[in-house]
Amino acid sequence: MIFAHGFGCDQNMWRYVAPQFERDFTVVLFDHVGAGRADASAYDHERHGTLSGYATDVLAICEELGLERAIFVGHSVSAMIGVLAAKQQPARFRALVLVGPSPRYLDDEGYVGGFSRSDVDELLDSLESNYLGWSSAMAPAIMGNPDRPELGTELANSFCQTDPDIAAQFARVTFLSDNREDLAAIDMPTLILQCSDDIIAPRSVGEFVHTKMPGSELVQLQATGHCPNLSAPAETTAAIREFVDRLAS
Amino acid sequence: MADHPTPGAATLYDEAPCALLLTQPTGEIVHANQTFFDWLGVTRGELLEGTRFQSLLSMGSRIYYETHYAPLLQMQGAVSEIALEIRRPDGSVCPVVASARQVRDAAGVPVVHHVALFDSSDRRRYEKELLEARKRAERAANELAAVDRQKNDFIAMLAHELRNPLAPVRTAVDLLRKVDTRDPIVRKASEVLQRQVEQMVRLVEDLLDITRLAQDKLAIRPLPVNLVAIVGHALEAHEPLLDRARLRLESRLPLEAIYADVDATRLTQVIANVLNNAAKFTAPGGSVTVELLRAGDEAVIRIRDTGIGIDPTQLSAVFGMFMQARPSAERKGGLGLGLTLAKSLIERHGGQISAHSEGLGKGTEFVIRLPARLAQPEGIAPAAAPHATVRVVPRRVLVVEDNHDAAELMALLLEFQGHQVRRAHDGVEALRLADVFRPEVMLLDIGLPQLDGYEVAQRIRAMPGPQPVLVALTGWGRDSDLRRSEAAGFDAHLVKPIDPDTLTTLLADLSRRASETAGGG
Repeated sequence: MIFAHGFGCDQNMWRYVAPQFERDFTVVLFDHVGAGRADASAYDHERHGTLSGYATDVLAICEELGLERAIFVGHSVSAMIGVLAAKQQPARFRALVLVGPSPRYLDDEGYVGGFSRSDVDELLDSLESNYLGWSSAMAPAIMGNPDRPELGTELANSFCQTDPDIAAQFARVTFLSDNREDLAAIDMPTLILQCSDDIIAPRSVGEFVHTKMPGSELVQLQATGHCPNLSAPAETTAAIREFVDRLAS
Repeated sequence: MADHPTPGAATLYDEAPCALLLTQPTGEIVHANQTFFDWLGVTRGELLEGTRFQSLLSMGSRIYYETHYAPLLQMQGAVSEIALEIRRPDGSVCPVVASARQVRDAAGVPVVHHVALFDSSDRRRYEKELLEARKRAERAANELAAVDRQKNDFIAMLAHELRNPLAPVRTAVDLLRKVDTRDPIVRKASEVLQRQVEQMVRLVEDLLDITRLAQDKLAIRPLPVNLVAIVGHALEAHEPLLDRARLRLESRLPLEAIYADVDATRLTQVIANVLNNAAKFTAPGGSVTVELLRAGDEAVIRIRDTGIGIDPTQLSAVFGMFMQARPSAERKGGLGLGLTLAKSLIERHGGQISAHSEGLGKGTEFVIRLPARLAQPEGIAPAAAPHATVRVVPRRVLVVEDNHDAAELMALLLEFQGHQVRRAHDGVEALRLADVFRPEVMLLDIGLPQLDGYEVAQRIRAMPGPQPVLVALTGWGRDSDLRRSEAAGFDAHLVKPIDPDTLTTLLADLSRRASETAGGG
């Protein structure tokens, strides 16, 4: 089982869920480039300028580890990254678990993504100017990092360390992506976990994904917010467990 | 006392200079102090039951809350100093810095969140100003870099333009010195001329090299060589310089060879620059000692003078560009580029150069360290002797050069050596003369009017009958120029200003090859 974290954090996101599967599966955890302890120098402006680039990274991990027919569990934007990876190399994956997926965050004609263009522009502007987020990220933005690297490290926040510049680009790629057309290409068992009151992936979006993916089932969680893997790990684990048990039988 | 909140504590809570919130783990607001309502611009009663803290944030902040703040609070139990924006019902935005703590019950289940918000409007403005200041500084730095590039381009062009008139001057001086005259004034004057021209050529070359350095185009071509031979030739070539400065040269070269991968021309240049430096700052009667030895896997060249020395605090500065780390009263001519170049050239060989002095008046020592080869390499490049004696065989030589002075002087020099010479000033004339004069050697300038040198060379190579030796003359010595002239059919390539000795050697060498070929066929 591969657990992929979403925008904003690193593999710590799975700390309450992934260990529950270690008894029955080989569990693979990783940090996307720019997050956690991934090598930030591997960031390639062009390659990581689309979600496909991140999907290629996932496939590279699969290849390195010789994974075939793995269960991919992707949270938030990594749900779509998993869809893109499974579209490229279906044989690598046996099933997908999509936690809070959204194939397109922006509203469109006949489609409610939950965000207007100005909402997303505001987010991207503030992220790129470091007006949002860790206050400590402001210092390197103002002074430049190389001279005093100690100021660039997150002092108070030891989890979810992200490179602010890469995170801002990742946000741009994520929130401007449109993968609605890719959903239908997936022909494997897929579990969609939909939260209550999730502003980032509203219920209507989860239902859209479900309709577009013929082999999918939608489970509505009690958990609110966008991170049930942290706020309701027991409920999340149970839903995934039930799904993978059925795969085995 | 702590058990009974005093009226003061309640006041502190409500009127604290920060907003305080108690929320459910879902973000639902349970309590908030008056400051919070004041900032928001609503009364306690106007806030709807069940309102979540995150719903009061701007959209960007709300996404940040969901993707960063909430997960982190869950994992760490606390977050501190996170920049967010509260959107008031009237649409205005209040930037805040948020810190929060998650309170859990005995089983570890989250019960409530304590949240403190600090108004950061002023701080945000300062941060914006600072970011602007940084952007301005970056723009200024970029502009400076662009101006610096332009300046380097200008100096490169200037050096090339200075080089062109130097070529005929150098040839003329050489001719003057070869003319048999007993007039002491002419002899003295031509000696002065030669010294000054050589100095000028050296300055222009340094200038060119320094622009290549700044443009990162300074390339070296290392080949396996015997350093003993290279250093020996370099010293031999600079003996006249030290003689003129009335300095005694003492060389301590080892008997056995020391092999290293070195660009011989560049290493000679480095030694020349250090010797020049020594000559400049050592009073007549002093001495310069040059020692070459091997220390482990390094070759070490020490060049020590008995000159005015360097203030120890200035030692590292001597390699800086335009730097003359000497008292201003002692300031000597020169651009102050020699040691900068020496350092770059040695570093490009993977070596080091350092300066040592015990202080003013106590002499200076330069130490060059180069990686040495442990064993004798195969196919060692011969160290060309700088002043080999050349036997001149008279040849028919066609000089093609659009600068009339340069052409005339080169012709004079060659005639002086016994060759039969014709001149052409453009490509068309060159082709006509090649046909009627049947030269054995053609010295062909590349930048010609009408037909350029490459074109002329190609046409000559297409002609029937015996082929002349073709020598390209250009102001540019880049690898690409060399390749291009080779492709056009040239046998050799000389970079202006042409050193008369080099020309003589080349001519003898080429015409010997040509006659061998002719003899063989």
